[in-house]
Amino acid sequence: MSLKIYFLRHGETTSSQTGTYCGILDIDLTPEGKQMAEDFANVYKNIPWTAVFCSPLKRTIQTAKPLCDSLGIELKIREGLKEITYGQWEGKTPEEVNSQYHDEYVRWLADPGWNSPTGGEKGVDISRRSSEVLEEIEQTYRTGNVLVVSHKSTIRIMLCYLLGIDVGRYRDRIGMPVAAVSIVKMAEHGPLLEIMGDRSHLREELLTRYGT
Amino acid sequence: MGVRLYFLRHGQTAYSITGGYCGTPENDPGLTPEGREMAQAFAKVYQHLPWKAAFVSPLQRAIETAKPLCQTVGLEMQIREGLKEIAYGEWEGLHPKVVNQKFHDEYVLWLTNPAWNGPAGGERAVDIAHRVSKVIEEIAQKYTDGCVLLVSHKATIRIILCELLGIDVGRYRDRLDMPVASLSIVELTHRGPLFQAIALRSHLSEYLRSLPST
Repeated sequence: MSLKIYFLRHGETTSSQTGTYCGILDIDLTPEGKQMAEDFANVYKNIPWTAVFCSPLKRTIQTAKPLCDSLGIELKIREGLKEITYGQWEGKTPEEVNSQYHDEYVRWLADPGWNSPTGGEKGVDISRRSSEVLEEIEQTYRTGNVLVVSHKSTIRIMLCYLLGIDVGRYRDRIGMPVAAVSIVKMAEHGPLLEIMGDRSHLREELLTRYGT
Repeated sequence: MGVRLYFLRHGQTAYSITGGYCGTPENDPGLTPEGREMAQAFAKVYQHLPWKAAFVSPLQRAIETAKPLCQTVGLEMQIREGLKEIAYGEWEGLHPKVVNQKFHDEYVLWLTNPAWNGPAGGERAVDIAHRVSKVIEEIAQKYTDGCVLLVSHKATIRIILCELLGIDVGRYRDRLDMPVASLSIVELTHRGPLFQAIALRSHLSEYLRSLPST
């Protein structure tokens, strides 16, 4: 038996629908986002969960809640799992950012590993803080199934870290729609990706909804 | 939106159950009945996509896997040598335990870094990456939108996914799992290959998913 880490992106929010930058802005799930959380709980409740780690933001806590409530699991909140801090770009659309912070925006698009949004976080900073949570999980649990509920940037950066992909490529190589599940087994020779971007737990009408 | 590549590993064969090394045409098993069901299930779920082409390895198990979708949609299979499975050389048909005994040091080298170490008389991952990349290049030149199916093999698909993701090709056996009939989806965008999903199997019934696969 080895340790399996399940990465779950939170469900739909108004920002995931419109594509505005939403990092530390603490918005709720939409009603459809809550349905996504319920669908996840329904399909995954039969897995023997060892622990659930969650970002402190409302959208991730609301996503973890149906599973944790139905199984009576206590959430372990970790700051390291928070979304990227967008600084002065929070709440703005890509078009607004492009016109107001053009050069920084171009640099960030080309390499978000070592460039940050104005006043926000670089990919390498996010990689450092999130890998501390992964380290804690590996140290604490040798075997079992651990759920990690986090965000689009943070999950993609953790996957880059585990797979050995340059962190500056996280936005260009990996898609991560809302409520997607990715599973990494901590195997003898390192992290083995079993599946990425699985959304088959969602009901049909949720699968076809537009969302970044 | 750029062209989307659908990488499909072939369905179940006798070798995929036992884990024996199975590469070249001299050793070319077909699908089991369950393997054919997997191919049917794929066609049923994915037939409605805007398919432009199907590129298929010349081996029997890949052709049989591509067949249901190609027949349903009316696509002609384009067979490409570049999509073949790794050539296992002298290990062909042997079980890992036997290889470990007979070719111990080469086996350990290969397990640790299959990029630059081939099975005795077989192919290194860097060679495989080279030949598959040519097929990807051909597709990228010919198609700018829609969906293109690539039916290939466990080692070959993992190697090209590493190449596209920017993972050292020597890590393909340790970083990516790829059970039979699993599907990985990559869009070729102007900023490079964007992965939508890796190793999806939700098109298979619960029974087919529960079968052992190496």
